[in-house]
Amino acid sequence: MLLEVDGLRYAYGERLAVQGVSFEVAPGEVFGLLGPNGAGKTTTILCLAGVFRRWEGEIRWEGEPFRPAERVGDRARLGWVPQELALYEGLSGRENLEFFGRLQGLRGTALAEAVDRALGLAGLADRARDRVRSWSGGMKRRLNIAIGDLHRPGLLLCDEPTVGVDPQSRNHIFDRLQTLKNEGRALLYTTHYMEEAQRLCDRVGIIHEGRIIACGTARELAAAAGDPDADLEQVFLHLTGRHLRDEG
Amino acid sequence: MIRAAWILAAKDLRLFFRDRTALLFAFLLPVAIVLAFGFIMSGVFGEQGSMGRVSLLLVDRDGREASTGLTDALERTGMVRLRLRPGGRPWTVEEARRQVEDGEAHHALVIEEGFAEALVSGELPPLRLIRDPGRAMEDRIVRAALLQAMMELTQGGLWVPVMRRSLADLGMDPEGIETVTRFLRGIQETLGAFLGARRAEGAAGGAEEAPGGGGSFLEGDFLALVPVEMEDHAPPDRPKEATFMLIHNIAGMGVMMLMFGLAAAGRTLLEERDQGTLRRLLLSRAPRESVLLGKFFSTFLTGLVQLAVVFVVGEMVFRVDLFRDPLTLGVLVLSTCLAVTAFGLLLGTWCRTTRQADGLGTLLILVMSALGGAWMPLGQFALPPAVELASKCTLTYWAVGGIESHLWNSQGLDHPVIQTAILVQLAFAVAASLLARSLFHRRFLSG
Repeated sequence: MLLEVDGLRYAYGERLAVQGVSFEVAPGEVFGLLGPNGAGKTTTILCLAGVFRRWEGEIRWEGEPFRPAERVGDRARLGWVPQELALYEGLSGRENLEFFGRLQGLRGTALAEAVDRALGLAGLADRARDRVRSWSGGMKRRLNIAIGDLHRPGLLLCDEPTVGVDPQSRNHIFDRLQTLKNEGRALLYTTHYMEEAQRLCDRVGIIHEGRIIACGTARELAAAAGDPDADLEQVFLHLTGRHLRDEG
Repeated sequence: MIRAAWILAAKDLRLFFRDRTALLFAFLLPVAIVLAFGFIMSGVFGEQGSMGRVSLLLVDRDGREASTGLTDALERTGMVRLRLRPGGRPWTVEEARRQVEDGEAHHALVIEEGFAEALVSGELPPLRLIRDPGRAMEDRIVRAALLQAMMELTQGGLWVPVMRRSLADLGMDPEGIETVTRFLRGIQETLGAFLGARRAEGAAGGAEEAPGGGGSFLEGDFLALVPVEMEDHAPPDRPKEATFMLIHNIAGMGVMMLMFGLAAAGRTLLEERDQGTLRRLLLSRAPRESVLLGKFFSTFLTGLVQLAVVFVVGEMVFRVDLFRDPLTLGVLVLSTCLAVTAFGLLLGTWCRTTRQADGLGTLLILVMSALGGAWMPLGQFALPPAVELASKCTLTYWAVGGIESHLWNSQGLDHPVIQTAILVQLAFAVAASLLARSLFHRRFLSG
């Protein structure tokens, strides 16, 4: 296994946000964490990324303990595409990519090639020298993903990267993620859009109130819900109920 | 429409009063500024709002009752406050000279031996002013006070020996001087009677003379008649074009604007957190503390360029040879930038929101600038001890004081005043940086 998460727990003060989450991601696999707002998806991903360090449980990378908060080498194995746009709007698209590329240890020709490739794949080459401030929301989203994948990480953590994106950009983002999948890259993808998980993910873990309540392929989950023809949305509603959930 | 406006207003007020940070700074900022200024202005300008007393060192080599008469009369002028050594003893001439040379004092009055005898015999009393000739404003005040005090002490009789000396200096023969002297004594008696009656009226009516107000007629050439010998101490390389207020303003405004600039740079840490880029930085291969160190470098370099521009433009416009000792100026600028950078980062890590950082930054910078003498040279005034202590607790006091002492008194790196200013700023830089680092760990990395 590429990544193994076992009994992950994290609390914001008294409130337990992640209550013993366990799952695995195989090399080249796209694993989806599917759940409503406040279910614990982002908290889980932030623990994995090393933003949070006071979590409990075990995380292993290829069987070895994985501590990205403490170890730079572990962090370098990850790429991160955050929910919000984490860009410098005063810099151009190329400057953003060059800056984050340098922070990831890329230099010289390797950096230039990585930046050119990222701009090309994101469809941003024509506007690369314009300041990001002048770009559309969809372009910024694509750059957001390009930065996360710039250093070709072993696992790309995508935290709801299509939130608030227009259909065209969303389609482009999906194509880009599909390309990564076809290249054999591993992705951990969180979303609350059922069709996204169904379209992209090899396996899905349904997370609810800080726990994974079901895990498997769409087919396996449908079977577990008692309806082999059910889509993920129906499975999800079957497992979590139809009542409204309030965050916080 | 009015009803709708009221509903909207009520909503705004509700939001405003729920924002504790906004509330704090809406009320705390003006109160703090008013208090800081109140303390300083009452210290500088006195209780009655007239011109403040300037400090004057006292060296009493005569040590007789007449000296006390003069010092009492000087205090009564309301223009000067005599500064004795800690413990209440007068200074020695050497100490006073050193104080003036070091810029710790601008004027020292030496009451020479034979002062009492001279008063009795109607001769010119032996007085000496050890002074920094560049402190023109303070010089006028001290000399006006001295003239007024001597007039009071001699009941106006000082005119006679002063005029005799002046006429002799101009080459008048002794007979002519005697004629004028007789004439002057007549004026003296008339003036003495008039002033005595006026003083008696004032005492009967309970009227008090406003501090500093009595010297208003002693302007211009009259001050040249002050019977005092001058001993000037000014650094030989100080340009003639330099005035103390110009140098003070370059140092004071330069430091204050530096603080505003670097506080804004420090808050970019909070901005990065809000826009999500900070998290992205923390997830990169870069060691996490390099994020804070990077902010330190960029803020520090911004400060260096900012101060360099202030000095270069200042030199180009005023031509006062600001770069005559580039090494000392450079070290002072470096230490000031280090301290202010640490202050900016401390602000950025201490505050929880950019709004808080803006409010607290403005509050601290304005109060420190006022208290630390960035706006006006507080060192020339006799401040109450509490205000003086508060002043010394500010970063601006040491930053402005160091640069000012160097540019005005030509003190170099070997001088204790400069060394102290540098050391205090470096100590602040280290302490504030360590605190900022600890807060950075606690606030930004401890999830």
